[in-house]
Amino acid sequence: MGISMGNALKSNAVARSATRLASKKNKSAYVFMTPWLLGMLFLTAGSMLFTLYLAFTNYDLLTPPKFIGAENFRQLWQDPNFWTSIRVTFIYVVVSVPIRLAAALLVATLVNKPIRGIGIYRALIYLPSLLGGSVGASIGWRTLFDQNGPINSVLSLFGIHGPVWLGNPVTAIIVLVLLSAWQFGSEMVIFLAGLKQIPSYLNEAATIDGASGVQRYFRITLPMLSPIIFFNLLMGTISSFMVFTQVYVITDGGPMNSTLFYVLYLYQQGFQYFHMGYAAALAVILLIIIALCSGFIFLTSRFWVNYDV
Amino acid sequence: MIGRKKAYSMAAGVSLAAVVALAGCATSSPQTNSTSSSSPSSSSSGAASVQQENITFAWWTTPIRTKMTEQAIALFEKKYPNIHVTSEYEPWNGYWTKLATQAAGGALPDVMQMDASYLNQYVSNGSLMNLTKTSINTSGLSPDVVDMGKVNGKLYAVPVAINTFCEIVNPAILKKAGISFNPNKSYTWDQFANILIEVHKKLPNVYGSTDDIWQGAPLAYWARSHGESLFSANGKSIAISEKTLAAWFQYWLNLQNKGGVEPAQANAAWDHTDPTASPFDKGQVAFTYASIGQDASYQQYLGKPIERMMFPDWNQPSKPNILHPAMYWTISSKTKYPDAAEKLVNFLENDPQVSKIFQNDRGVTANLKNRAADEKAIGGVVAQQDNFMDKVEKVSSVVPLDPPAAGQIEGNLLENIGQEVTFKKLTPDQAAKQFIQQANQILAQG
Repeated sequence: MGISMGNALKSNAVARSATRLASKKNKSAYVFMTPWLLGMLFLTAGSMLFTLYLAFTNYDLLTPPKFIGAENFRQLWQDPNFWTSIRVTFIYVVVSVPIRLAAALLVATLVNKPIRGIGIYRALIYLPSLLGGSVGASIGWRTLFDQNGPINSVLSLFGIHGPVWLGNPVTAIIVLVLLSAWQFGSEMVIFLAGLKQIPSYLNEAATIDGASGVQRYFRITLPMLSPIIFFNLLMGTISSFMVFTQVYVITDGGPMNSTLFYVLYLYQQGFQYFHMGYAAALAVILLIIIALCSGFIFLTSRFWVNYDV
Repeated sequence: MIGRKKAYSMAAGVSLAAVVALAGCATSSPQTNSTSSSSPSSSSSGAASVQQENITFAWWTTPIRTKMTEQAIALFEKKYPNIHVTSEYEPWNGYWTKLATQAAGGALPDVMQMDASYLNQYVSNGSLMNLTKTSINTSGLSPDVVDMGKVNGKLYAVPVAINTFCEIVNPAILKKAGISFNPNKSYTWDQFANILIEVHKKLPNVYGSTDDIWQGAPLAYWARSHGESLFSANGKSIAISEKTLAAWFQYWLNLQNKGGVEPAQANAAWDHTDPTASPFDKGQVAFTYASIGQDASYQQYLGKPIERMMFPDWNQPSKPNILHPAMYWTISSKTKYPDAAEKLVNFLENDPQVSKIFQNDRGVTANLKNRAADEKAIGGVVAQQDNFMDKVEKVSSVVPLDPPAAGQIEGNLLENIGQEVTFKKLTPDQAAKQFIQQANQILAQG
């Protein structure tokens, strides 16, 4: 009893000094985290909480928000444009993300070759992605796919009568998917880094065992790359849900709402019709959708992502 | 070992993505044009007793309008050296977003250019100053026009200019097609349709008109020319009957089928809010709809003289044409310098020199004396616009302001339902039913 008591005291003291040490360590960690923490608290978390509040109000920016309970969500449920925007956005995510990743992986594999001046090629290939979702690139894209634009002129050289790209509900969304595929650069760089991490002895051993190039690619490269694919898939999915600039500039939702993307609709409600409460409700739902999709990708990851060597 | 390396590369990837995201943010930084025009500094003037007053003046703009307005401000600052004006100008869309945000923060500009579709909203939340008993002189305007700036009998907004909506014509195309046409005649809607179809028959590469099936102003005119109106008097519901609306959709669908207007896809492909994108500029259509004010830009982009005509069926007792307040000057109710703000509004509204600079860029000048003087001094397009406006004034009526949700209904709903008719996804009857139901829902939400 006495001994255990003494032990307990001793261990208590040890624990206390350990906590003191830990708290000292933590303190410096907090100091280093301060800039991020302040930004997180005041710029991100604060706005998010305020958005959550606004989602339950009627707010036109000009008069103070009025609490209306779940009315916004009830209206959303009956809003045909809401469902249109969900459908359009899901189609875009499901189609554009795989295409973009495939393009990025293909190009990364191609530029992962020891050729002279490869650095220059890599930089040039990466360039379009620097323009990214900028307004300038979008305007350029729009001009490119104009009815009498360069794309249709080239097609006509081959005797093909090009479609009215932006005037047709099907081709309009294709134009946007193509723009997303063209901006594969950042994923490509990450894939390239992943490819370089694959230990060469795996490929060497497989070659000695008589594996063909295709076999090595699908049995070694892809499995070894799966954590990177997982990361790119996740980030790509999240950013595709939030696509805005390109759509706003190129189609502005038309024709016939065939490109009414979710965030574009959110913007229209909030900043064109000044239904801020309604827009906040849309934002909250988008957050939930993205969280569910990310969760789903995480759940499936244990079936196809390979973390072993 | 490799696991850790992988973790590093992962981290590198994440930070890289973050950098890319940041770069994205940087490129899309909001566009604000806040210039401070040359300010006479109070120290150099030496008059320490005169207190410097700083006011902010905001307007939505085009490149030409920016230049004109800055010139006018420079004149104002020369006349009133103790007042300094800070300009804030944006294109139409950004302007309203910014103004609403400023209103939410209680920091509206002292003097604001205002549009009829927003006036009610800003008056009802108390953002605007009552100008009934101020030093601003409105005696140079016709009383009808001054009334356009009144809400509940009080003057909150001073009309800068008036305009109306009309059809503009490229006479060269009609001449080439051998069609005799008189812009002063009151054609019936059917006669007008026949002209449009005839154009395409004679010149297969040209269409009669842009497809205006989803344009709010012509539709509102259609309603009036059928003895109805688009919105009810209190603005709480749609007033046009299903039959009249279905006939509107049918009218344009019929034109589309016969080549009187562009095919559905061609029409959907260009941005109808951008005058530089219109096929009218390229001589691909003979007619399009425009407001007086925009007509000058169209003439400039086309590079050839145009003519203006009133919409069909204008010569009837119901007077379907309207006088529309093109723009207003308003003053914030929270301004710190009401005197300076009033002086600026008075100057912009009535100064003959300013009027000469502005010409008819904001619409046909509201001050009648200045309008006549400009017409004499400048002539050309300004005189044509003034003459046209004089004609319209004789056969037009003043209609109540559109409800606040009109922008959403005319801009988005009408566009989509109109497009579904052009793409033959909806029949005119179905479209009319859907439009009325959905528009009423929007109006009920406010």
